[in-house]
Formats: sequence, C-alpha cells, structure tokens
Amino acid sequence: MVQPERESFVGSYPASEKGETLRLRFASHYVTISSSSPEVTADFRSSVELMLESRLDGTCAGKLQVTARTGTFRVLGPAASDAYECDDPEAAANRLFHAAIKLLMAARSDLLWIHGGVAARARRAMLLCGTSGAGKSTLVAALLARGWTYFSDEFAVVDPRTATVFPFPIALYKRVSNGQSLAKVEDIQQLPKIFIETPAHAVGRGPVPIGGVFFLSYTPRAEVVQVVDCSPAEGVLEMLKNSLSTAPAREQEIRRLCDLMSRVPSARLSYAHARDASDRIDARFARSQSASLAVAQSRRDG
Amino acid sequence: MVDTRDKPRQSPGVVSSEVLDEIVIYCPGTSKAVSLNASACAIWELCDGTRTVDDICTELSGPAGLPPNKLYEDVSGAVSHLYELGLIDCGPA
Repeated sequence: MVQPERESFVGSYPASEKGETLRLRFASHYVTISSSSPEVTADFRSSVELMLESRLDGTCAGKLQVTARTGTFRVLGPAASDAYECDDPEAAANRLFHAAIKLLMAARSDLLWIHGGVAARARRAMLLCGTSGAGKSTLVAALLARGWTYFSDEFAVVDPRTATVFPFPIALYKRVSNGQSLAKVEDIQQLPKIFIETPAHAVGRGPVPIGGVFFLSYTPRAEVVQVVDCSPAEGVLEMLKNSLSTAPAREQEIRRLCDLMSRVPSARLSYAHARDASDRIDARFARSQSASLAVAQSRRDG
Repeated sequence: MVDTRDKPRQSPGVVSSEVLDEIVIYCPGTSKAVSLNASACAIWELCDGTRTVDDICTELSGPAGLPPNKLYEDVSGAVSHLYELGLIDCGPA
C-alpha cells in the first residue's frame, strides 16, 4: 500500500493550521482532500484506505476541504451548495465521502454508476445489485472467502462501451446476525456491521469484463436459493432501480444500459443463507466460464 | 379503458430504446420505465394515431398467422395497459 502524501496546506486556512492532504483515486481521476481535522481525516481514511494514492498523474476531479474549529466541522467543495457544517466528525466524514463520490461521478459521467457490490474471478466480474439490506456486502464477503477478488461494496462503476467494471474498493463492512431470527426483512438494518479485512493483493487493479449481474433479494424464510433469468429489457429496468445517476441524464443512461444488458446476462436471485447463494453464484460463474472457453476454443478451431 | 373508435398514439416525449428484440420505454414526465417483449413491441410500433385497435389486429394477423378477432383480446389488453402507464394517448384521431 502506497502511503498517501502528507503535506501542510495553505489556501483559505490560517498558516498556523497544519493539515493533511489526501488523494482519492479512481481510474484516471482523483479528488484532492485537504483537512485540518485529524478526526474527520481518520474516519474518511478508514472508508477509502485502498483508494488513497500519492501519485500525481491523472486528472483532478475537484478539491474538497475540511476545517475544524471549536467543535464545528466544515466540509467545503467547489460549489457553495457543497458547504456542510456539523458538530459530529463521523457525519462530516460521511459528507466528505459523498462529496468526493459526487465529484468523481461528475468527472466520469461517461460511466454508469450503479448501487452494487462487485467481485471478480479469473478476470471476470459479477455484479450484485440490490437495495440496502439485500445482502450485497454479505455475498461479496462470502465470495472473497472463496478466493474471489474484491472490486467494490457499494459502487459498481461500469463502462457500457466495453461491458467492463472498474474497481472501487471502499472498505467492506457486512452485517452480522445477533443469533435471533428476524421478524421482518427491514429488521436487517438494525444488525451491527463488522469490517472485513481485504488485503491489497486481493483487490482488483483495473477494469475487467462483466460476467453477469444478480439482482438480490434477501428472503429469510426461503428454503432454497431461487435464480430466475431476466430478459435484457428486464435487466435494464432492474439496473435502473439501482442507478445512482440523476434524472436529467436518464434517457442517455437507458440507451447505455440497453447496450450493456444486450451483452451481459442477468438474473434475480432470492436467498436466505449467504453460503447457499454464493454456492449458486460460484456455480453459475463456472458454467459461464466453461461456455466462454468453449466458444473461444471453437473460434480457434475455425 | 380504450374505446373501439380510439386511435392510440405514443405519448409525446416518451423515449424508447431497443435491446435485442425487446424495447425499454421511458416516460420523462412520470420517470417510469417499462419493458416490452417482442409481441408488445409490435403493438407499440403500430400505435401511431392512425389505427384503431381493430386496425392493429388486422395488421398483426398476417405475421401472427391468426384471424384478427383472435388477437383482439390481447391487443386491446396491451393497449389498455400502455394507456394506464401513460405511454400512449387514446382518442379519435
């Protein structure tokens, strides 16, 4: 892991205030964050440690600043509307995180930004999409335990032209059961989260082709894992439900999704136990891998 | 409910995008999107404000290999559904 560059900053801060500058990198872009709050910096860093880099090449997507004065934390961005003030360092770090994501999304509006977990094996990725509580992080963690490579917990950033997905390796947290059965699915939100350690060597380094997309549904009382294939158009609608893009760009996004989903298989997956679900994802991946190899072999054979 | 004299037409502003043999239709006004399978696509494309439901059935009877009256229930149901979703306007031309 390359340690992020540390430096004093100037700009709008008094010269007496020492701070730290971080660079959050995504593909060819980065966001520069200057902070005079060690608490906010530490919290932010813990969320994006694997995405911090000191190298200066690439394009700056924007700059953010954090100040701390007498118990008040301020996050400042390029626009006046980005300004945020609160007395909780965790809330400020959370705001900082989302402001940084917003800058990257604006800088790479050519990509599709989907709410989803991503894991890869043999240089092909599976996207796991679903609402909060559907089990994205739990299933990503289950796949990592099987030797898959970590790409993302929350952000599936897709290039529709090449049907590839980029690594966006924010810190992976999964919910853990308290041993009691859940009365309703929404109760899952109350469960505590634990951090899943992801060594740098197990993290994706560059974009890889998408092997498939699963739209997850956690069904506590389901006895078996159910996988129902989606037609390409159904896949587009499911992807739209999980889109992080804003409405003004919706028409263009739909065209991009149509292009993507005509090339990428998708299915709805409902499950009660992460292990069973990851078995099915693993098995489906192996099947599609065999099919791809057979196609490649037949092409070679002429 | 679609009247027999109605000539359904695609609502203005609605955007359609092909994905293999299906279509995804998006209505910016309602921010709703729906998918149409190949059969519904054929009906959608004929909703141009010049044909009644009967006319659409007649147009589709050749490719479907069925008499128009056998298609009426499905076509009428599909047109009503598209109307309820705000994707087509109905009314005499």
